[in-house]
Amino acid sequence: MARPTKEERKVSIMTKALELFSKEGFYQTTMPSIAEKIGMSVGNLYNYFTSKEMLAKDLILYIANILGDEIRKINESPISTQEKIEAIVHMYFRIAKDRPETIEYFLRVYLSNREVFQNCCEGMICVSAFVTEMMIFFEEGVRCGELRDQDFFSAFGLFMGYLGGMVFINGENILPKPLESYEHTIAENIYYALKSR
Amino acid sequence: MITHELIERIEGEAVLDFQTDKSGAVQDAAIRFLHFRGMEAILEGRNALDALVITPRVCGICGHSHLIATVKMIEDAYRNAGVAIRISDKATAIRQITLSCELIQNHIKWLYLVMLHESGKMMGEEPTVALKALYVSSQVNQLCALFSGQWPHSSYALPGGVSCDPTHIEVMQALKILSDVERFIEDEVLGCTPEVFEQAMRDNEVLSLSGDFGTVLRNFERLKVLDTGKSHGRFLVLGDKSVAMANGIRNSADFALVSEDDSQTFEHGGKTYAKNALYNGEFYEGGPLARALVQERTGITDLYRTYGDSAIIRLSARVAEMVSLCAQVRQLLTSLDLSQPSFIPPPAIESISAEGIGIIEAPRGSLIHRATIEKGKIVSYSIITPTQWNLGNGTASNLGIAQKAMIGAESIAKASLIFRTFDVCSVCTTH
Amino acid sequence: MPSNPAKLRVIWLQGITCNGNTHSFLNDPSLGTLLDSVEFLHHPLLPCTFTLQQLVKKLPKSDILIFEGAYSASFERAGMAMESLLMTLALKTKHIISMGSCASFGGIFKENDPEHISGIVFDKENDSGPLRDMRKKVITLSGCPAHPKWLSFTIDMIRFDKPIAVDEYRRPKELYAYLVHNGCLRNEYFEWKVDSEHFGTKEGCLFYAQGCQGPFTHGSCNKILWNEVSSKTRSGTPCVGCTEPTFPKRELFTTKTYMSIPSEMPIGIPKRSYLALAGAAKSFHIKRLEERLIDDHT
Repeated sequence: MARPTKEERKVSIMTKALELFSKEGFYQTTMPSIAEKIGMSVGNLYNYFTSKEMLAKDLILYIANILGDEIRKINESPISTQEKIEAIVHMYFRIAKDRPETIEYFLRVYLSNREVFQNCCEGMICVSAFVTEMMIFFEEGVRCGELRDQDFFSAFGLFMGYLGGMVFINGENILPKPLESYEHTIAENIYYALKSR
Repeated sequence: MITHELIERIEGEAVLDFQTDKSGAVQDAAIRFLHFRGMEAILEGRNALDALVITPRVCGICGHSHLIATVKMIEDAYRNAGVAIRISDKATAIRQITLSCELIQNHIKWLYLVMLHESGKMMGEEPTVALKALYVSSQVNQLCALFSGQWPHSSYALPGGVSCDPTHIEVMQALKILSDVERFIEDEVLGCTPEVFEQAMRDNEVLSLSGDFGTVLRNFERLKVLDTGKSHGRFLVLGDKSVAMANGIRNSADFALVSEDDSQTFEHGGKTYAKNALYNGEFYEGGPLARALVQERTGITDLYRTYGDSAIIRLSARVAEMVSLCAQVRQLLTSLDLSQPSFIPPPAIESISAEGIGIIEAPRGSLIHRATIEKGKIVSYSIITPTQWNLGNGTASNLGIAQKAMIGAESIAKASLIFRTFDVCSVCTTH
Repeated sequence: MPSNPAKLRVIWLQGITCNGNTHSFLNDPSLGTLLDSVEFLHHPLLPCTFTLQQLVKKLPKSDILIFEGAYSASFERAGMAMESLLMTLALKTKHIISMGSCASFGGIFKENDPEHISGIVFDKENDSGPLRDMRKKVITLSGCPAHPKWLSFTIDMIRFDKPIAVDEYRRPKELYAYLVHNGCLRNEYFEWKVDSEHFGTKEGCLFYAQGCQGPFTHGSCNKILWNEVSSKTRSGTPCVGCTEPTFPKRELFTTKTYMSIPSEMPIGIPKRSYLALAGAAKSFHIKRLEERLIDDHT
């Protein structure tokens, strides 16, 4: 078997680090604890990431890219805006279920520790891949007449805040039914809130 | 005998139908404008702010006047809708500066490209390009563009003020240009200082002025048309202070007495596209002469006492206005308070449903824009241009201003020259 | 020393017009130099060889025919309909300059009678104007009005027999390859997505709210300045897109947006690329760009 490339090693480090960060939180997780989990020396870990902050930043970029790629696929498929909403909700909940650490990281690490990301992830740079696709989703929805024209952030907040909130409640084990069983109603609520009148 | 004379080298073209006797003297004259562009219809249904881009295109030489009339019309609609709209003194002054620039360049072009050229030609001179006049006009337009961005066809005035935010550098450049223009007027147009010019008007000595203006007057004298071209002696200014003057008596003018008469247009079996503009059912003359007389400006008022409303005074009034406008622009430039806002944002135009009227003094007289706005959209738009006052086509019992001025001329050529003293603009007349 | 070619014989003919291009042309501060190289067989305002009536009678040959204003077959000059007047003069000339947006695409006056009024080669974007078959000898100088320097450039190129590279509408690339956006003093505000809060300030970009069409309008307005000193955007006025066949659009002082995203992208920039940069740039707060350039004028 060929030796993994540096990029491949980086991705495997990030996958493990993601689990730790999302479980333990940003401050509880340390470079030694990550190294230990992977089974590499701390010194070697620093060869891949110069600091914990840099690793954290690469992780958010990594997640934004995953989400961005998924939404882009939906944006480029020949379906109605209403169907796209359904698809985005489904995709988001699927990732939350299959790879909960991704969404957890986004909600519990990225959004909750803004001071960590202030210097390396100012504004929306690190989540740009994801936000850009959401912009395109909204822009096209309004352009084709399905969605109501309004300020981007009021629509974005309604959509993503709703999904994030549901994943959060689910994580707290409050939901009586499985998350995916809410998909359709949630997509419908979002559509009715945003659709043109 | 009836002759149709095509008048060129005006803004656009016009046809004069002359009836002459055996000696060739003009017994009757009709003025026809044959081109029509439907500007008012183009505006209907559009956002009212779009008019700020469309109406300047009524006319290449006085488009800025149309812009200012439009912006005043929209601001009037705001007020009529009960919405307060504020314009800073700075923005008001800048609008007046750029509008005055348009008048100055217009008067220079008219003096050189039309009057000097045409009167010279009748004296048998070989016409040349008045490069010095065109250069100085381009400088005046540059002064305007320092604030308006460009001339012609700027859209820099918006309800609430102006779009530019000038610094002292623009003001300094403007003052330098203005000095050059003033020097041109003294050295080339008048051949004397403004003070000497005013004294010459009071002493009835304008014919001895050495500049190009003097040359035009002397050409007119040799052609024996200097004191011809008399009309009704009725004058109207609606733009600044509204005054109507008839039989030497000045009264404040009432806009309600303004009407348009389309009985001479093609639509009603006539021969022109131009509608007549009437005040109290009669033709009134507008423009620099009217402005000077209603304001009782010395010089022109003195000349008027001697000559009445003949060619010499129409020529003098336009030149005198160049001089007074330069002084006004200088005063405005030196007193501009740049710390004031250029623009005070009004509520969105979409909230406005009302009628608005904007009246300003354009190069050739009072320009009126009137529109009905419904939720920010133009329902109807109507423009009365200055030349509709001066170049109207009346009937034998109620002759138009220029029409009456031409009747009695010794020849068609002389009548045509008199016609041009009114500063003819065909494109405006039939917008 | 290069030999001086003979004076070009030029006819300036007007269709349905406001005379704006004529007056724009008269603004050329080096008009005298230009007039050393051309002889006007006819011009609406300048001294010339033929009056309009003589022009219509003689229909002379020329080197350049400059056409200003929109075309309508039945529109007359000195009693002759454009259908024959323009066509005859066009056949008897070597070069044709379509001066201004009315002559080029129909412009504002087309709005009144869209069926019968067009440009001479193009009718809006379509090449269905009366001179479409002569398009090879037409140079389009669109703009409302066209800049005097654009005209003197074209005349000069013709005079010295230099080839003029043109775009799809036969506009010289040297003039129209630029966007009005290029050279705009507000470019830094565009880069960092700082919009102008309202008219009348030096600060902020007019693309996001005030309807500026600079990023998708071809023209060198911010390279070859108007009246030598300024431009629409330099005086705080949004570009109205006057050089394009789509002129005049509607709602000229408002940017059409869909969920805050401008409906038209800068030319050639994919929406995804634009938004990726815009979203990032907008989230920064650059203090210098949010402050007034000059605090006061005292």
